[in-house]
Amino acid sequence: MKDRSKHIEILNLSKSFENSGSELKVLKNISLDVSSGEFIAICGRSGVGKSTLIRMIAGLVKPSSGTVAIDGDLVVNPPNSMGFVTQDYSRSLLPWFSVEKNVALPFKAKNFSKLEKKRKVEEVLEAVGLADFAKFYPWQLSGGMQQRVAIARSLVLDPKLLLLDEPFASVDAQIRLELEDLIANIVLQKKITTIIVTHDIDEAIYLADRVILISDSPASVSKIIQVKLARPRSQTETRSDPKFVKMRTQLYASLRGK
Amino acid sequence: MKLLPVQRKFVNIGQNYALTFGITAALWECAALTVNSRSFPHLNSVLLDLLNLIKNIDFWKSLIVTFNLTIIGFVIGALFAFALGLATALNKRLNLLLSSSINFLRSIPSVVFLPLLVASIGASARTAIILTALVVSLKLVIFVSRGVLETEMEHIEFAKIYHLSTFSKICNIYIPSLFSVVSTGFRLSASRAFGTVIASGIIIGTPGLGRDLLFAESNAEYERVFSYVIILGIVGTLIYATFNVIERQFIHWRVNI
Amino acid sequence: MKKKVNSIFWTLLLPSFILIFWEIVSGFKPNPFFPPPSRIAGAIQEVISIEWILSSVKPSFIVLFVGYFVGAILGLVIGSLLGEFVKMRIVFLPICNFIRSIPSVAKVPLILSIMGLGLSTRISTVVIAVLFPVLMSTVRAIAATRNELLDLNRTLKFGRIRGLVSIRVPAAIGEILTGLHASVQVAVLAMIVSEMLGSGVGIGAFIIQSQSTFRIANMWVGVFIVGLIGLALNYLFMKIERKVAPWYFKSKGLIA
Repeated sequence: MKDRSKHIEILNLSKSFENSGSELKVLKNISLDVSSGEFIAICGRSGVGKSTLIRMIAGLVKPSSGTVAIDGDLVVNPPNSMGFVTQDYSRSLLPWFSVEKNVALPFKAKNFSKLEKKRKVEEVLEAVGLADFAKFYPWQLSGGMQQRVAIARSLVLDPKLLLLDEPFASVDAQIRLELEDLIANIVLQKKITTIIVTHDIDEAIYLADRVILISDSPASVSKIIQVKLARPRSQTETRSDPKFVKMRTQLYASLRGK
Repeated sequence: MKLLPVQRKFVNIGQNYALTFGITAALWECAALTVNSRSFPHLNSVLLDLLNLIKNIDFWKSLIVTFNLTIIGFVIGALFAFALGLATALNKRLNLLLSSSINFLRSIPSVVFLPLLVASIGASARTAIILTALVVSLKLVIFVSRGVLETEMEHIEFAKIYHLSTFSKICNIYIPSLFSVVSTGFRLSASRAFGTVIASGIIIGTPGLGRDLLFAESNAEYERVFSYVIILGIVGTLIYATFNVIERQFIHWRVNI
Repeated sequence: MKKKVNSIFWTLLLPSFILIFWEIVSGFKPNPFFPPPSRIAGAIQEVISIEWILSSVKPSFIVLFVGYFVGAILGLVIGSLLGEFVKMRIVFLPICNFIRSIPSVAKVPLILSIMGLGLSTRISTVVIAVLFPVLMSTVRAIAATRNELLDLNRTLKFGRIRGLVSIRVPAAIGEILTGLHASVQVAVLAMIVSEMLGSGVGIGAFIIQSQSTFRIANMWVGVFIVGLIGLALNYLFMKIERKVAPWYFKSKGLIA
């Protein structure tokens, strides 16, 4: 019995870590449904367990209890057709490969013709605005450009699901806005289901259809806000929209109230 | 005449080296005058002898023998080091099993095995190779196992996300990451390999420049001793520099971070 | 507790297996150069005596420790100065690098021919073997002082020498210790070689003499004792490193 509208189904997810005998509960009873093509932002203070949550969805961390299902299939290992971008581009890109080889990495486990691979790599590099930098090495690029490479790599297999773990936390403010728009446009165009983890409330509202606030220790879902702002959004207009400002105030209040 | 910045740089470097050489020569002469014995010859006589030495075909043969022994010993040692290093890094049990013996062998200066080797298999080229391989593998094994263990967690995670096969994980992630650590080990153990071939020549008379040096010393050819030592310094520097260049070419990301 | 017992078991497994295997094989097929461990153990009793320690071990220790300390201190002082004074560094570093590149064993015949046989020769051998690696690693470490620390030095108005002693050397202590540690091995090597080549005194000479008079079990005793000295010094250094610069050695996770 597969419910197609529910792309991702998270049920009573909990995680605790064992630390020299004592048990540290990080996440408690998180339940969440994400429908196909939806953009979800998971928001919370640093250290609250957001990264652990997204890693469990990605199949990289095993939950202590509860389940994650994608298209009705239980996630045990990283699912097919998923892209993943992490915060630290200096560690997620392979320094010994050029930009194009880094982007082509996901093809290593797939059977594609050489031509098809080449075309696809060119296409995603074009999409992130790095068409001229295919032959460069990561260390020759700025931080923002390296993160674009990481984004290109996550898109090269045309994923149905994109997971972003604080993807813009290591780049400076100006670049950050550019990358936000880049992601928003690509995801909108390709109708990719996206989950982003961020500690930045503004970023969460700006990008997402739904903002999930998690807080407390162990953390659970403390607030959900539907973001009904028109797309495509714009950094200047959307952010000064009264609705935007109101949601922001609400979220700040509940973040501080706890 | 005005100089271009590049030219100026070369002139500067030239000046510095000239100064280095001048000061070294002055210090040498002072030392030779203070010691004032035949065993500490003056610089000019050593340089003359050095010229004679490099005109001698036997010297070049010896040099080639030394190189051959160094390379063979290095390659065999490196193979052992990789096998042991991978085994200890990937398996905790094997690590516990082997590390105590490896550490014990590492703390013995290799030359103490020379009397044993010469007594049991003689002072042939093979002896030098065995010792060199031993020294190289004990030096390099630490780098190999560290290189494997230091592989970035995120890289391994990405391999998992994109379902890379074990083979492609090894080729695309483990080996390049390993080589960025091991290249330092290569450089250090190549120098060690050369040193060991020389040591075995000096102590038990295996073929090569080490033995020639020992002969010169026992024949009281003092200029020759100095000439050989200078040659050994040059070769040592060249080995080090070569590996440095290779490292910069192949491990470009490590150098440039 | 159980974990510890387990790890001790695995650690001792291979050495004891080798010893037993060696004992059995040499029982079946005696090889004069690999006497059974039981014979070597017997030789330990035979060899080790007060006189032997005074005549062989003590001179080796004097050479090793005096040579190492003199070499290390010279290396540290000269290295720090070359690290601080760039002009001096440009002139003297190439020659130091060159001398360092000469295999340390090859320096022994040279020193022998200049200084003759004797205690001072052996000590000088160790001094020179230790001096240059320590010097080079110190120069590299000092020269790599971070700019913020140099600025700190400038704002504190410490001046060159005081800044060197109280900021640049402490900042570089981890790397300097690594250099000091690495040259312990070189020091033991230089000591053994200088004793082997002609002095007739010390453990190195004992090993050579045992071999040439065909007392192979005694030679093995000498080899093991050198190994134990190396192991003990290595362990000592590891402790010092972890004590003096825990931040540096903890973060690198070296397997010892």
